[in-house]
Order: sequence, then C-alpha cells, then structure tokens
Amino acid sequence: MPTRRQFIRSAVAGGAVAALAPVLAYGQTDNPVKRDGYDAPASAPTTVAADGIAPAGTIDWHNHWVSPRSAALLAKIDLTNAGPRVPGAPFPSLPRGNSTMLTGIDQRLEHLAAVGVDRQVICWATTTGWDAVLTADQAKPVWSAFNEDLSDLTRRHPDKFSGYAVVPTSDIDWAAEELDRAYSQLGLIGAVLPVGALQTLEGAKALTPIFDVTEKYKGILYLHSGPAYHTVPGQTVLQTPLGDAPSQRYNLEWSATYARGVVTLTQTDFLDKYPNTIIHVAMLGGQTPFLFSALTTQQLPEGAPDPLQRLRRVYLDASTTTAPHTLDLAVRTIGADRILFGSDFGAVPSIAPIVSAVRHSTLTEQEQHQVFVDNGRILFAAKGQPRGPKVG
Amino acid sequence: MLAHPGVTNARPEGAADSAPPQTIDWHNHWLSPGSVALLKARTTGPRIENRDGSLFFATEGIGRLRLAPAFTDVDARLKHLDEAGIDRQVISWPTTLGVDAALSASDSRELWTVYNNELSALVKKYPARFSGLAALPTSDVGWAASELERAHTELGLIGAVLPVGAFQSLAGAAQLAPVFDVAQKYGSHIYLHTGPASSSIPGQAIDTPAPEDAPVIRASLDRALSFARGTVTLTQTGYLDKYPDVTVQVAMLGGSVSILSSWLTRYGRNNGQGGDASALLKRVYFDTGVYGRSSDLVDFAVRTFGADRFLFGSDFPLAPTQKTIASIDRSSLDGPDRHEIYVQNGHDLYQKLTAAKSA
Repeated sequence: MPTRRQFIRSAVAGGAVAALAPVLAYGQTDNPVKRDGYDAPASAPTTVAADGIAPAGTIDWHNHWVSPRSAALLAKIDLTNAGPRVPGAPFPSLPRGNSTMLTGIDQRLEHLAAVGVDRQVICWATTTGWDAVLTADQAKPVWSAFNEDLSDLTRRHPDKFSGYAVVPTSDIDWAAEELDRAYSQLGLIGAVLPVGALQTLEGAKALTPIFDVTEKYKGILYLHSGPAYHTVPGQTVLQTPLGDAPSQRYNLEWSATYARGVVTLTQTDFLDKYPNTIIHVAMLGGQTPFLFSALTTQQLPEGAPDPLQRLRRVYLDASTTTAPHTLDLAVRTIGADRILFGSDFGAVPSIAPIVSAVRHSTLTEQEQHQVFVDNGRILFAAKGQPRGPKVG
Repeated sequence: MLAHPGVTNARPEGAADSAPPQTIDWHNHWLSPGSVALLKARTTGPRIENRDGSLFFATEGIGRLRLAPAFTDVDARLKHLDEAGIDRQVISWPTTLGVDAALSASDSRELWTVYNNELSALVKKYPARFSGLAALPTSDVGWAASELERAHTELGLIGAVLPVGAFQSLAGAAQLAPVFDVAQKYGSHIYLHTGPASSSIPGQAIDTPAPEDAPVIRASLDRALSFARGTVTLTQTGYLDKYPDVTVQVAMLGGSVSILSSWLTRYGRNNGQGGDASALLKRVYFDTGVYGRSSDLVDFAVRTFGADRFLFGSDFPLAPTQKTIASIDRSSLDGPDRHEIYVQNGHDLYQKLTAAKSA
C-alpha cells in the first residue's frame, strides 16, 4: 500500500531482523537466565524500506524506555545480598551501550517519523526483572522517578507519546496509591504489570487494589513479560537447566506464561468487577492463539461459557509478528478488532520489521488498518482517555 | 483411498519404489481383548467397567470415560476405514488414559505383554490394513527395552508409543535411553502421545488449579505445552544425535511448539550451540491428531514447519476420521501440501520403516 512516506530508501528493515537475535537469546551464559544487561541493539534506523512504513495514524502500543533518573537510581542499587526471587527469574539487567531504550528522545522521534508511527504508548520493560527482586523500599523511589519522567515526556510531546506507569508488586497497597497518582496527577493512561503476577486467580486477587484503582479511572492494565515479586502467589517456576536447551525453554515457558495470564483474566470471574478496565496483553498473548484454537477441537463441559467469546475481553498486541502467520492465527482466534500494533521497540532496534510482517500477513487491508490504527483509536477517546472495549 | 480436491494418490512420475501409495492414519487407538479383561478385573485405579453393555474407562480423579465400540471392535474399525478412505492404520495404545503412570511395574509388564501379543496378532491377521506400535512401561525401562526388542524380532511391530510426559526434560528423556538404544538398533518409530509417565521419570510438571480457576482450560494449555516441551527435549538438546535411525512422531501437531518457533524467529534462532533452533524442530514428524480438527491450527502448523513434517492422524475412535479430513480440506493448504500430509509423507515413512524391518 504505497503512501506519501514511501520515499525512503534501502533495505534496513531486512537487516534489522538479524539484529534482533541477541536481544532476548537467553541461556547462553553460565546462568541460563541471567543477563548482564540488555545487549545493545543497533541504533534505531532512520531509513526503512517501503513495506516497513506504517499507515498514518498508527499507534505503537508496545515499546520501552528507560528514563534517565530511573537508570541512575537502579545503577546505585547493590543486589549482592538481594532477597529471594521467583526460581528461574532473570537476574535484573539494564540496557547499555547505544540501546534504543536509552538513546535520546530525538532519535526515537526520528525513527518514528521514518517508520510512520504517529504515537507510542511507552512503558517500562518488565522483562528486565527488576520488579521481581527490588524490595518495596528499593522499588518506590525508582518507580516514582520513572513515572514522573514518563509524565514529563508525555507532556512535552503530547501528540507523540502516552505512557503506562510502572508499579511494584512487592507492595500492592503502595502500588495502588502510586497508580492513583499516575492517573490523577501524572496523566498516564494505565500501568504495566509483569505477567508472572497473573498466573493464577490467586495471584490476580493479590493485585485487587491495582485493579480497583484502574477501574475507577477506566484505565488500561498491560501484561508484559517478567516475573513479579516472590510474594505474589502462583508464579510458575521456569525450567531452564543447563544443557537442556535453556534458551528455547525460556521462550517456550514465557509464551505459556502469557497464556496463563490470559486464562486468569478471561476464563474466571475475576474481571466481572472491572467492566471499565481495559486489558492489554503483549506478544499476541504468547500461546493464547494456539490454546484457544485448540479449545475448538475439544468438548467442553456442558453449559460452560464460550471461551473464545470471553477471550475477546482482552486486547493482544502484535509484537511477535515477524512470523506473520502467528498474527494470522491470532486474528482468526480473537478477531482483528482485538489486536493492537506493537513493536517492542527499545528491546529491538527498529519498528519496521513488525510493520512489514503485518503487511505480509493474510489480513485484509481493512483488518491491517484496524491493527495499525482503528483499534488504538477506539481506546483513545476524547482527550486521550481510554475507554473500554465492547465485548461481543 | 482418499479422494480430495487437488489430492491424488497417484505415484509421482519417476518414483523409484513400486509400492502403491497409501493413505495411512498414524494416530488412532485400540484396546485388545486381553488388555480389556485385565483392566476389567481391577477394582481400583485404572480399570474398565461394563455398564449396561457399554464399556467405560474409570480411574480416581478423572471419572468415567465411555469407550466407543470401535475401541475394541475390529470389524467396526475396518468398516470405518473403508468409509473414510483410509488404507492403513498404525495402531497404538491410548496413553491418554494414564494407565502407564498409575500401574505398578509388575502390573504394567503383565498388561503390556498381553496387549503387544494381541496387537501383533491383529497386524498379522490384517497385514494390508494395520501396523502396530508396542506399549511400553516407563516404570521399568530395562524391561521396556527388552519388550521393544521383542516387538521387532517376534511381534512384527514397527516401534512403540510412549507418554509425552516422559520427555518434559532432558533428564526424563535420558532415563529412556535403553529404549532408544534398542530403537536405534531396529530403526524404530517412536511415538510421543498424550499422557503422564511413571512418577519415577523426572521433570514432569503437575498443576492442580482451583475449581474456580478455569481448570479445564488450564489442562488444555498444559497438554499443548507438554508436547512442545517434549519436542524441545528431543530436537534442541542433541538427545537424538545418537539415534539417527530412529524416527519420532509427536502427536497433536507438536502442541504449541509452533508458537515457540515463531518466538525463536523473533528473538533468536541460535540454539546456544551454533545451530538453528527453528530448523532443529524439524527433526521429528508431527501428526494432526485432535488439533487437526481445527483448520486454523493445521494452517498455522504447516506454515511454520512445512507440509513435509506432518503425518495424517485422526485420533479414531475418539472421533470419526472424517472430522480430521474435513478440517484439512477446509484449510488453506494447497493440493501438493495436502497430498504430502494425506499420502506422501506417511507412505515414505512407512516404506522406510518396513525396509528397516526387512533388513
């Protein structure tokens, strides 16, 4: 679909796919899930191939940023005697070098212009594992600083950036207070939570104060990779022993972790109390599309609610779509009106490969437009306030 | 033989072997008379009950499962094959029932000896219609290895079925090494099918969600995940390097392993040893099984791995074979892809297995 922006030259988009490889290739150190820091992807390209340019109005719902103050505060924290964390949880890390999570806002804006993305909804990368290890006393100043920095960024660029707050799972009551501040004072539209917190209904119930506040403000809760603090119950142990394909198992288990979170929120009664709370799940919900397609082959108990209908209570973002047929399966399972465009920018150096993958899926032009533009617009009602999805 | 739009059973021009191409169902189950009798004699644990002329499988914690007549009735099975256009079935024990995990080693040895003997008799009676995979205990791996040897040398079986629960980790698979050593010797076909293994096999995850926490759906997720974990164990760790002549079939499209493949495409193909992790997943065959009744899943899995990795399997008699056929026909696969799945892959594999047996 040629656009006015397709003047850009070269095949940077193709090369960017290869550049993704080291970013989340866990398990190649002595500790299979320890990372000494995000390997720095190449700087964000400012020229992309034509099929990597998104249509006007595109919103990128999955991308990351490390604010200057949060990076400085985390760098000072000594984890030598860190307390317990969920077994198998990654050792906390920070991006380094010229990671696009750290590089300046000007470069980010330049990249957005190159790929045609009009707005990003920015969040902390819970994948980095800090929430799982920081005590409440350690976490509070860091996350407060991040939320304030993010607020400042969104206010300086109100037409380009929106933000999800980050809150600790080590102190849920304080998290609820901070989230209230994020909604009422900081202008943020939701919060990112580590999906590890929502593996079971019991885990979700532990987060009730966070959901209560989000319901009050009709906000968005975003489930993203990462373990929660060890006091949140029901977290699955990641099985990644040395010599037993730890990197592959890490990816497999995290993809399942997403599906468990989706099951918790859509197939139990937990969200009944929160009709105005929007749920956004990263990475196409991991194994969610496969699971719910598989359920169509299974005889469910008589009178059981339709699991696919309940699944439509959430939005999935398209950040795993460098394999376009994964997006195809997701759309067939949940519907194109429940998919948000997301790139994982910050963890990856370029948005273009994801744009290209959406274009190379079997989605119709209309469905692609829903993913790139329309669904995001629905979530942004007047004045940038999100509103709930219509289920059904 | 199957007749579907765009699919032909005709031998491709220039094909070297002369055997007629067949449509083979690689995923289906049978309960032999002797095994039914042994399970009927039990009053606790896994057992079969006769209620008003119908057979039910029962066990604590699961309840009762009505067994369709074709689980035991060979004439009904043959009639069904003719109606569905299936030339041959490769029959296996339904490990889904969890019998292997629940029985003691001595009870397992007795049960599987009877079953394998009767499966042998069946395939010898109907050599043009049936082949068989031995049932083996994971509670006594040494005996399992000797039984697999007997299956090849005396019983005319072409391999064995094992519960995928045994392969959740490399440590679990390592305990099955004696079985794979024999499998390599005879060029066996090893089939990983739903179900837990003996508790003596490490690495098996047990999850018991609360009743209000979507236990049925979580069980489905865990089942799909168990196949993916088993596939990772066998393809990503080098475990099969010692067994180049063993063919492996993973049921149910390999579960959610196709999602893993897309994640690896996104976040790194390197398997940590310089190999291409996505390519290594193709070391095994996947059968369609129950998940084959979703056209969307068939599309997704085949687009992930390529049609050459898939075998037709129906999970008969849990459902009519025609349901899986209809689903594959509804998929977006083109004629050549469907031909590979219905006919060519199974035909080529069967030729290889029977050639190994002859040798």
